[in-house]
Amino acid sequence: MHQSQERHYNILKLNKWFAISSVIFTFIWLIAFADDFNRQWKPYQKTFRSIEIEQIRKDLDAADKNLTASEEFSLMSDKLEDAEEALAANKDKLIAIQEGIDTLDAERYRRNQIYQFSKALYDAQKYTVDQAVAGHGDEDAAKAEMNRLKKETQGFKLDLEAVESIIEQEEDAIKEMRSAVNSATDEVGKIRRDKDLLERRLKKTDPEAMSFANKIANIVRDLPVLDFIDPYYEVKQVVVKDLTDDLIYLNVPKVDRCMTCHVGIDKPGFEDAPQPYTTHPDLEKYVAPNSPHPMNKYGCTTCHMGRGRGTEFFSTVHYPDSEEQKEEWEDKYHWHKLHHWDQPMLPMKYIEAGCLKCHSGNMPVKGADKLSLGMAIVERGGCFGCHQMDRWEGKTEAGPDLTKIASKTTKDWVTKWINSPRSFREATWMPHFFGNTNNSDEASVRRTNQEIHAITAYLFDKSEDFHLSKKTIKGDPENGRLLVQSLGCLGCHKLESEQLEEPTVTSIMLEQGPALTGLGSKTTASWIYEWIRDPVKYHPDTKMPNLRLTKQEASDIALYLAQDMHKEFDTETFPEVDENELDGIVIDFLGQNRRKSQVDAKLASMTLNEKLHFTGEKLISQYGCYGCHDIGGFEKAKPIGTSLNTEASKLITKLDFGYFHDDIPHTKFDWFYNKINDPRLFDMIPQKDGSMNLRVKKPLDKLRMPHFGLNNEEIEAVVTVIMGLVKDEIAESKRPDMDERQMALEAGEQLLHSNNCLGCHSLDGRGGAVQPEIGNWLDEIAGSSASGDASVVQNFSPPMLDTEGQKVQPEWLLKFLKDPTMIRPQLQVRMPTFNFTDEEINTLIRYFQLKDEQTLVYEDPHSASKSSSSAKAGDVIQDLGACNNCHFYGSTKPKQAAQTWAPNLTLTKERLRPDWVVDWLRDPQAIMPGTKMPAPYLPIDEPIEDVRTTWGKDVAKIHPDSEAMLMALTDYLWSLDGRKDVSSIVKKHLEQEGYGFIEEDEEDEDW
Amino acid sequence: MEAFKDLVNTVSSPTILFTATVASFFFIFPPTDWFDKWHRRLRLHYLWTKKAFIITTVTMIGFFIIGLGDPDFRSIVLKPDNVPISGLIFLVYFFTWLAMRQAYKNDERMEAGEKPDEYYEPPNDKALVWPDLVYVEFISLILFSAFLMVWSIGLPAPIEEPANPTESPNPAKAPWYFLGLQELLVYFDPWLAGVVFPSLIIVGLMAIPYLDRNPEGSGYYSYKNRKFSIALFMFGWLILWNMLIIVGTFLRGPNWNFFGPFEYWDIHKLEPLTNINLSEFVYVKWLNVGLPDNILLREIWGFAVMGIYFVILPPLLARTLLKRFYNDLGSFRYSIFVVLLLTTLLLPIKMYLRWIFNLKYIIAIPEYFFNI
Repeated sequence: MHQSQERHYNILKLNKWFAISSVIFTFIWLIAFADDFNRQWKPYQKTFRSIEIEQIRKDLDAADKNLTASEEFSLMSDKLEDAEEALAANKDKLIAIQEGIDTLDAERYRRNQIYQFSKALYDAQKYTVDQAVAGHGDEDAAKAEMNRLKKETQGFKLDLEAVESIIEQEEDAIKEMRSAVNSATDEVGKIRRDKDLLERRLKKTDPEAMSFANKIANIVRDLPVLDFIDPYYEVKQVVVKDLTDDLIYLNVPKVDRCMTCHVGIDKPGFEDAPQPYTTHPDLEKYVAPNSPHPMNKYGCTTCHMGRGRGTEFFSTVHYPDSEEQKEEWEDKYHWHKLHHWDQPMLPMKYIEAGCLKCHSGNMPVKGADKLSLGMAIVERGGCFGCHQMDRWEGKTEAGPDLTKIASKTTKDWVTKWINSPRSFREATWMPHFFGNTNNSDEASVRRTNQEIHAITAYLFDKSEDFHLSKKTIKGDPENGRLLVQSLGCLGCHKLESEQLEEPTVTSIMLEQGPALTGLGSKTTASWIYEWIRDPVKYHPDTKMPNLRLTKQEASDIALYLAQDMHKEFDTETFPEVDENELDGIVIDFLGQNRRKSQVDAKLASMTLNEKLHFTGEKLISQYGCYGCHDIGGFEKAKPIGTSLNTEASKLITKLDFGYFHDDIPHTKFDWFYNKINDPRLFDMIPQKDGSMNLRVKKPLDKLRMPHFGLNNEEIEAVVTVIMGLVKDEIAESKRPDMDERQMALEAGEQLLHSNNCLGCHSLDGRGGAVQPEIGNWLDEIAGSSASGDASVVQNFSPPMLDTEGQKVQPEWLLKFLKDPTMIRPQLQVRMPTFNFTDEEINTLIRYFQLKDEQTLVYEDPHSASKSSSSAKAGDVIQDLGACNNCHFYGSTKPKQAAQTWAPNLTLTKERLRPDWVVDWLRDPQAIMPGTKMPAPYLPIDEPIEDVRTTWGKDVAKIHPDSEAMLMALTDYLWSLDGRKDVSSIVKKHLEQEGYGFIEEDEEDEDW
Repeated sequence: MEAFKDLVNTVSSPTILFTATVASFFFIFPPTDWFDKWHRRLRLHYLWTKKAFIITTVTMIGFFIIGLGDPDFRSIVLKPDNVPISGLIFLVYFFTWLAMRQAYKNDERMEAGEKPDEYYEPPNDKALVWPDLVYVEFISLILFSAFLMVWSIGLPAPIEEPANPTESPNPAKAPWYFLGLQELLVYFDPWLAGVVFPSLIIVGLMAIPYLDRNPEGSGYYSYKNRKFSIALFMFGWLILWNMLIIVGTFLRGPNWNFFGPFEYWDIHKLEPLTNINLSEFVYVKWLNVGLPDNILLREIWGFAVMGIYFVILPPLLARTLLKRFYNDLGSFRYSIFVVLLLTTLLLPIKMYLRWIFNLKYIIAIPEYFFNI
């Protein structure tokens, strides 16, 4: 071998090193296996398995108890036992027969084989014959052989059949003997089906309940390496081919593995189990196979976001709901945000954002209150004025028309208002442009004061003439107050302006128009008079409808509203115009596209007014005021904000966290929250002591988004909307069906929402926001006994619109919306005239019709002559029901006092649909819960003889068919003629006699 | 602590860091007797003792431990991609120290008249491939595989966001071994930094055995015998290669701006872009006239400078500073050597011209994509 001196190293030492390193390597190799085997999700599945076993055992116990308690079961069990005993008595015979069958079976096998072989020979011979016929061989010999074989085969077949029929007989005999046992077993099985299922499930899950072989298999199937075949613990996943994750230029099918750890998500019964084993809280809507959003069709991350392919707590990009949860997660899972995935899971507070992807057309989105609130705020706040959002394309601007502002208010008021709208009205939707985080320092305030002067000056320069009557307005403010309360003004306006702690979609309805406070400080009675008489005259695009006020009513209201002054606001003073400071602004704007010398020359040539006008114009386009207001000279200006159409799909790197990268969590929703909470925040630098300093920025480069003063709840709602604005393409099959009906419903919902119809009316249990105000008014005119009774309040509130599509004739609805007339004589609330276009009216009609599954536009106009038998019978029945107590019959007044009055029945035939009238008469409460209308009395229980003598032959003819009687009443209504418009009668009556409320509780209950 | 971090941030600015390293470099690796004299006078040879090694290593580890308390430092150093570069710092230092220690030991032995450490009795210039080499390599292979497995389990490869062609990462960094070259892109045009220099590096490395025919120090560690060669190589290896990789990894942030190790990588950091070309220096700054239209006339000064640098300077050096080399190598090998040397030095020179004079290009002909 080698000589030792030839070696540089000691071979024995090297051997030792080799041994040690091999051991180390093997050890680490095993660790690598273990690391691969021990996946984070496995313990979850193991724990869930034991929870599931426990649950099954519990259910099994309960099923057991049920069975023991069940009489039927014990009866059937006894029967089974008896049958089995009877069978056991015949056991010897049974065995004998069975043995006989076994022997015969062997014989059958033998004979079958002989037959099959013979048949094969015969088949082969057929081919030989064909060959002979074709000229290869002896045809006759072949044919003879074939016939011989045929005969032989037939013989064998008969032998076989003989033994087969014997076997059949014997088998039937056995069946006969066992039939009692079998049927009893089936019966028992049916009763204990639930228990059997549970037992089967238990056998699959619980090793203790398994057979020995299965126990071994249960262990082996999850061993390392072998676990690729059919493991119990495995990554579970849902692949949704037509929903995709956007990986830029590549849309890969959604693969969600969430259920790998959230094992119980689709299994009812684990509602109280700890996370991640909990059942989905709303299986009716989501996840369950029969819900509208089944898990295998929609996956999880489609709505929840996050990284569906991940199987670890961290790599799935869970996101905590709260600071406490975050700390808990950090402790428990070493959680931190995976910043390489742009769409972290939505925290519960923004979870409804997921709905907007597919249901953006609806308003409100059912079951998504926060999202709907956000959408209402976006609409009311006019976000789309600056930020392009296709969802709200073409919606009316959120603010008032400023083209005639000089007639409405004064420069002084405007400057103070622009400076700080909320100090005039706390809950105003006009946002703060000034006095914000980035322009509150002394120098900025000096500058912005001049900016405000400039904007005001421009608005007044551009203001067009608006004729105001010179005459002093005379009237009764007290009556004005009652009118405001009762006419329905308060369905859109509030009489005070406070921020609500918990705003809702309904509460925002009451902010459709501005709060009616401080109007005396803002404008004059004569302007209010002109405005409420005909809003469109002042603002052609206004949403404010026309209430058809008489001159006197308008004067009363104008005087009442003008009474309210905002004293504090009035006494405030605003700094004067300061030309030096103003010059600075002018120079900044002039310098944008001029040289210094040109700027100087231009500045020197400008008068103060020119400077104000020039600066004002520039500032209005700088701040984008025209996004919400009509302003002369800005008719075609483009909105100034970022388009929000796919804002939530924007890369987070496109959002500038400025100096707040340590203070604000690096997520899109946190950025949006902070941006809305303080739009100018990112112009600031946070200091250690909590204060903030301004970044160095030129005034014109500063952030411009105004501050809306939204509270936490409102901001979260708006962020929910923004987080729903994604560019994900949703496959046709996954969207709600966009058929004609759906589109009509969406268009209608939006129209109802934009015009705040549900501020007054209620529909599907929503809306009716004005009702509390109606209650207040009732309280004042009729006392608490009336206002405390919900059905009285309802009776004096605008009507419910449920079943409107089935109820009214489309043509009538068209006419009514064009020109509303009196229907319910008891109401003070007045249906205003909206300036609906024909298209809008059709949208509404289609909405109501399709909503009620009413597909026909044209229908046979029902008609009934007075002399028909049916109408005559109806006449009798209406008399019995004393309909005239409450209803007008043309000019015939109801018998009771005005408080119980109901619609004029002569209107019925052109207004209502006969089918609906029948439904209505059958059970008014079913259609309009809480209505004062009683179901009419129908004489169906009386004997026919009595009916004939008492009520005549017409009624007798249809007795005792209640439907026919309702139809008779309907025919009667259709035969009625007479005066349609009873408003003057009503007016006169109310002036003379009032409503006739009696302030005693017992009386109230008699109505 | 904040003061310390600010100090480190300031010191790691490129000018200070680079100047300090270059200035001290030749005292640590003395290329000539004069430097060697100061090397010993400043007691810098103690750097290669065990004590110094322990102190330095502990200091470096201490720096990393303290640094990891800082979120910005942590996020950069602990990025799985960057962990090997931290390792590189320690490894390069360790092997440099090991080699230098060995060399100094041998130098001492030889001074005392003894043979180098690697010298065997009886004289033996061969070792067997099996078992000596193959066996040791095999053991290393096993241990290294085990180490890689532990590493990959302990520090899993990061999954980043889906690649997006419309959104390049900022900073966009080359693989770590190219970061030195990427750093060159700050100072030179792509054709130089990306094509000429890398080719020259390879050619230069291949040329070493032909240029350096000094038989002394062959087969054993020694510094004294080949001071200049080692110092020059170390300068290229440690400063122009490793340091640029470290700088590129840890100190270059968004927009390829410079950030101290404890600084937040603020994407909005702005550095003034006020670099100008040599032609603008001459015509605009000194002569106060506009740039001539004729490209050649405009860039004549740059050509002149480059001409002096590459044509006039070599013969001058041959008579003065590099006289010994000229004599040893002969004119042909000398010219190759001196061109390689001058090209290497072009990098630090250009860096300083940039930092001190905001010089953009010496020759700038963007019309033909020819800029130096």
